[in-house]
Amino acid sequence: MIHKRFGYTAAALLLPLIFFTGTVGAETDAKAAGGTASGLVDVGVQQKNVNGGSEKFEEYRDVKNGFLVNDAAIRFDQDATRYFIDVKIKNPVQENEFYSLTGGKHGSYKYNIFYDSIPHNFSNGVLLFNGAGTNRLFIADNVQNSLQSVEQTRGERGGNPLVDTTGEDAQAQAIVRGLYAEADPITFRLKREKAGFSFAYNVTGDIKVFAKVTNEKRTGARVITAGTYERFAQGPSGLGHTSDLFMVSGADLAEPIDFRTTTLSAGAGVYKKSWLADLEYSFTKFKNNNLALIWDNPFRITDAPATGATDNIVGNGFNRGRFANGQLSLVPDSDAHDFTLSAATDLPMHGRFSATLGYGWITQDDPFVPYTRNSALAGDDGGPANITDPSILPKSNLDGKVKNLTGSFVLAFKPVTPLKVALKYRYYDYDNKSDEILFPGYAAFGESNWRTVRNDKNAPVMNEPLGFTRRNVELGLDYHVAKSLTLLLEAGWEGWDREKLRIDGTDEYSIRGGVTYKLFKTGSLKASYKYAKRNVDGYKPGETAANPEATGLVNYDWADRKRNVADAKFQFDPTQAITVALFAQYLNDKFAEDSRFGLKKSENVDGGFEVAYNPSDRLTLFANYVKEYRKSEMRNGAKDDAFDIGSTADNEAVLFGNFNPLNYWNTNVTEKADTVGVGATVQIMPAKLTLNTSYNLSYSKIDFNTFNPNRDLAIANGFTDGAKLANAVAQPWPTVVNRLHEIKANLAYKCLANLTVGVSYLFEWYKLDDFAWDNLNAYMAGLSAENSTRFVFADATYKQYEAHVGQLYMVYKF
Amino acid sequence: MNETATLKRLFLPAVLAGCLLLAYAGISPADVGYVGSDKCKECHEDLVGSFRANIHAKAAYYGAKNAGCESCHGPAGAHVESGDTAKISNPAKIGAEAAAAACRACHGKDKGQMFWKGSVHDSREVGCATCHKIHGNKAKLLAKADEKEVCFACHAEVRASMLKRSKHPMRDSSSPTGEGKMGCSACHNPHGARSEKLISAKSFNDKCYECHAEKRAPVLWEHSPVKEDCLTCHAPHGSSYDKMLVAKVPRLCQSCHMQGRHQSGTLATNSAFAFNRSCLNCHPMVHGSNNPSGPVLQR
Repeated sequence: MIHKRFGYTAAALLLPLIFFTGTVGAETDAKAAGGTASGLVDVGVQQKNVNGGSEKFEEYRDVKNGFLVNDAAIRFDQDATRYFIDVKIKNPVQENEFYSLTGGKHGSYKYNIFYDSIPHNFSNGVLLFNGAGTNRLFIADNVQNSLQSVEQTRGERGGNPLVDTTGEDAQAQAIVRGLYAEADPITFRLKREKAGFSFAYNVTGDIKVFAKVTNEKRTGARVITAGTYERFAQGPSGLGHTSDLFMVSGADLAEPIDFRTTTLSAGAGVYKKSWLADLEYSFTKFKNNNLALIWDNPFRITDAPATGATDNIVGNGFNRGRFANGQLSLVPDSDAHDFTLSAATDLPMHGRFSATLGYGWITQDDPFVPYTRNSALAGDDGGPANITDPSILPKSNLDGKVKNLTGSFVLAFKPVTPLKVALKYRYYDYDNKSDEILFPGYAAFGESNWRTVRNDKNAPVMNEPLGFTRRNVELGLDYHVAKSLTLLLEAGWEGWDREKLRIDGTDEYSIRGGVTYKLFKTGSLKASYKYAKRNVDGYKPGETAANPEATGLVNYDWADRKRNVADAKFQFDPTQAITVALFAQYLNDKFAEDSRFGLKKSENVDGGFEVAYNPSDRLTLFANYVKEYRKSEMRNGAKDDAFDIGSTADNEAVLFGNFNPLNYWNTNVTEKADTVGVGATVQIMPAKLTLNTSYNLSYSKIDFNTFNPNRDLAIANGFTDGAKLANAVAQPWPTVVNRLHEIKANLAYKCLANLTVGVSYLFEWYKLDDFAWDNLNAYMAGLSAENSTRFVFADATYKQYEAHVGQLYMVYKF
Repeated sequence: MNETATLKRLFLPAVLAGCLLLAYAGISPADVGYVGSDKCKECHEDLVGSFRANIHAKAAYYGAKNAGCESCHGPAGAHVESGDTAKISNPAKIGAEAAAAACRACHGKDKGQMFWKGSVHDSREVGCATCHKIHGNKAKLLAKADEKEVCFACHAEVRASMLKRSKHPMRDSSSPTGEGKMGCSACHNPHGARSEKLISAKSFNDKCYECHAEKRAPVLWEHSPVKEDCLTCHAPHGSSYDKMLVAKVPRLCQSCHMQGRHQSGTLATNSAFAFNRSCLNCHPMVHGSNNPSGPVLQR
C-alpha cells in the first residue's frame, strides 16, 4: 500500500514536470541559459488477451490494459554551472515500475535516487489453508477432527499401505476433496521493491569519496512443502524383500516472504591515471520478519507419537506425521560486513598490477524454534519432558559466524612487444566459526519420534560448520606471431581445502591453447581448447558416519574429473551488406571413472550462427540460430536389505553392501534445444514510416533413458522385471518439452521531427510438457504410486498460455 | 625554517611540476600537427555534433581539459592537408589493444577498469570500440540498442538461454512488454573483474547473495554446495528446467544422494518422490535449515 502511494505520488509529481519541461522547456531552449534540455515521453493505450497461465506470461512483468506511460525521461545540462539533472521513469504505477533521479555537478559530485519494482509470479494454485502470506496457516478444527477420526493406523492397514483395509482412506479422501472444492485459488508471487541513494564526491580531481545505501523489500508467498513418508517392505524375507511401498503425508504450504535487505557502503580513494587505491566498507543487513511458519496438520487435531520407532538406524517409525501443527524454520536474519582494499599501478613494460584484498564477516544469531510442537513427544522414547519449550535447547541460537578473507591479484605486462603475459592469483577463505552444537536428540520421522542419533548417519546429533579455502592461479601468454595471428597459451591450477565435509580437498590442473586469426580485412577466427584434470584427496568411505551415502558414490562437484573444453568463433563480412558470425562450443566432463555411482559424464555441444543483411538503407534483415545438445549419464542403485543370489557362491551383500549390482540402474538425460530468431526492419517511408518485426522460437526436448545395466543377470537369477527390487526396475519417463513462440511487430510513423506515433503487437505462445506437473492434481490420493491420502498439494504449476498484446503509442522527444 | 630547507622541500615538487609541464608541452597540439576540433567540424559536422551530445563533451570537467577529436584520433594535420583517410587514426580500426590504450588514457583511472589488463576481453582482443560507439548517444555509448545485444553479438548461446523455461528477468528490455529488469552487467564487469568469468564480486556465490541475501548466512544444518558454489545446481543464464536447475529433480539430487530406499529408486512418474517438487516435497530446506530438528533439511 505504501509502495502504491509512493508510485502514484512519484508519477504525479514527475510526469507533469516532464510534460511541462518537454513542451515549454524545449520551446524556450535551454541554450538560452547556456545548457541543454532533452527527454522523451512515451505513452500508449494497451489491450491484452491472455488465455491460460497469465502468471507465467507475466512472470517478471506487469502487462496492463488501458492508458499507460511506458517511458519518460528528461535531462537538463547547464554548461555554465556544470549542474545536471537526469530523470528516468519506466512503467509508472505498474508492478514493474522504475524511477531514477540522477544529478550533480560535472566533475564535482553526483547523486542518484532510485526506486525499482520487480514482480515475480511463480504460479497459480489452490491452498486448503487460511492465512496465506502470514506465518500461521489454519485449518478449521472440525476438519481436523473429522480427518483424525477416520485415521487408519499402520496396524489396521496390514502390510500394504495401498490397501484401504477399513475403508477409512475413502472417507478421508471424500472429506479432503470436499475441502478442495471450496478452497480459494492463490497466486504464489513475490514482489521486490528496492530504493536507494548514492553519492560520489570528487574532493580533488583524483580523490573521491562515495557512499550508497539501498533497501529492498520482498513480500509475497511462495510454495514450500513439508512432508514425510514411511516404508512398508514387501515380499519374501528369504531374499530380504522385493519391493518397498510407501505411505506419504504432508502439505504444500505458502511460505510468507517478508524480507528486508539493507545495504550500506562507503569508501574513499585516490584515482590517478597510473595508479589508484581505495578502501571500501559495506554492510548488509538481511531481515526476515517471519522466524517460522506454523501450520495446522489437516489430518490431526491432537498430537500423537509415531509407533514402532527405535533409536538405531534400523528402527524406522510407523504412523508418522501425527502432530497437530507443524513448524518450519524460515531463513534467518544475518549481518554481513566487508572491508575491501583495492589498488592498481602501472609498471614498466606496459605492465599493470591490480589487487583487491577483502576481509569480512557474516553473523547469524536468529533464535532457534523448539524441537517440535508435537507435545506427544514429551517423554516419549526419552524425549525431554518440555520438548516444545525452546529454552531447553543446548543453545538458543547458532551464534553463527563466518570470517571471509579474499584476495585477487593480477600482474599483466609485455616483456617484449609481441608477448602479453598475465599472471592471476585468487584466494577465498570461508572460515566458519559457528558453534558446533551437540543436541541430545531431535524430532524425527515427521516430528513424531524423539531420536538421539541422526537417522541419516546413525551418529550423534551435532551440526558441522563447513568451511573451505579456494585458491587458483592462472598464467596466460598471448603471443602476437604476426599482425593477424595471435597464439594463446594458458596454464592454471585450482585447489580447494575443505573442513567438516566428506572430502579433504581437490586439485585441478589445466592447460589451454588458442588462436586469434584475422583472416582478412573484416574476418576473424577465435578458437581455443582446454584440458583440465581434477584430483580428489581424502574422500571419506561411504556408509559411515562421515559419509552416509552409498559406498562408491562420489558427488560430482567433488569427484575426480577430466574436462575437455573447446570453442570456436568465426566472424566475417562477406560483403559490405552482410555480417556473419558462426560459433561452436564443446564441453565434456568425465567424473569419478573408478567409482560405482553418481554423475559419470556430462557433455554439452552448442553451435549456431548470426547473420545480418542490409541490402539497402530501407531494409535490414537478421537471423540467428542456436542448437544446444546436452547429455548426462548417471549411475545409481536401489538400496536393498541383506541379499544373496542363490545361483552364485558369493553372498552379494558382503561384496556390495546394500547396493547389489542386480539393482543398479542408469539414467542418460539428453536435452536438445533449438532457438531461432528472425527479423526485419523496413523503412517503408524513409525516415518516416518504419516497420520492425521479429519472430523467436525456443524449443527444447529432454529425454530420460533409464535402464538396468545388469538386466540380463537379474533375469537369469529369476527376477524377470530386470532387477531384484521393484523400486530398481527402470521406469520410463515421458519427454519434457518446452516451447515458446514470440512474434513482435512495431509500426512507427514519425509525424514530426519530435513526434512518433505507432502501433505495436506482441504474440506469445508457451507450452510445457512436464510429467512432474502434467499429472499433478492438488490431491493425488488414489493417483500416486504411494498412498498419498494424507498429502495435500497446491497444484502450484504453470503449463501453457497464449497472449496477445496490442498497443497504440506516441513518443515525443525533445 | 631556513631558506635552504625551504628550497630543498620545494625542489622535488618543482622538478615534478617541471616534468609535467614539459610532458604537457610535448603533446601540445601546436607542435605535432594538431588542428583542433573546429577544423574537424568543417567536414564532419554530424560526427562532431553527435559527439557534443554525449558525455565526452563534458570531458574537460573530468580532468581532460583539452579533450577533442584528436584526443582519440591523434593529430589530424596531415589528414586535413591531404584528405587521406589513411592519415588519421580510427580507433575502431587500429586494433583492440591500441584502441583500448587511447581510451584508457582517460579511463584508466576508473576503478571499474582496474582489472582490464589481463582480462579475458583484453586477451581475446575485444576492445573498447567493439562494444562502444564513441560518437553515439545511446546509454553508456553502447554500439547497440541495449547492453544485452552488445554481449549477445559474441555470446549468442546466452541469448538462447533468455528464452528458456526459467531465467532471470533479462529478456527484452526494448519494449514496454519486456522483462528486462537486469542486464549482463548486473553480474559481469566486461572491463575486467576480480573473479572468474568477469564476475564483479568476491565469488560466484557472493554475486548471487547481492539479490538473494537470505542464502548468505551460516545455518545450523548446511547443504555444502549452497555455500561452495550455487552453480553446482543452478544455471544462472536460464534453464529448460524449473528454478534454473541444471538437471531435473529427483535425478539432480540422486546424482549425489543414495542412502535410503526412498532416495535410490528409479521412481515412476506418479511417485510422490518424483512429481510436484520431488525430493523437496519432504526436504524443502535444500539451502540449509536453522531448525534444531532439521538435520536432513526437512524443516
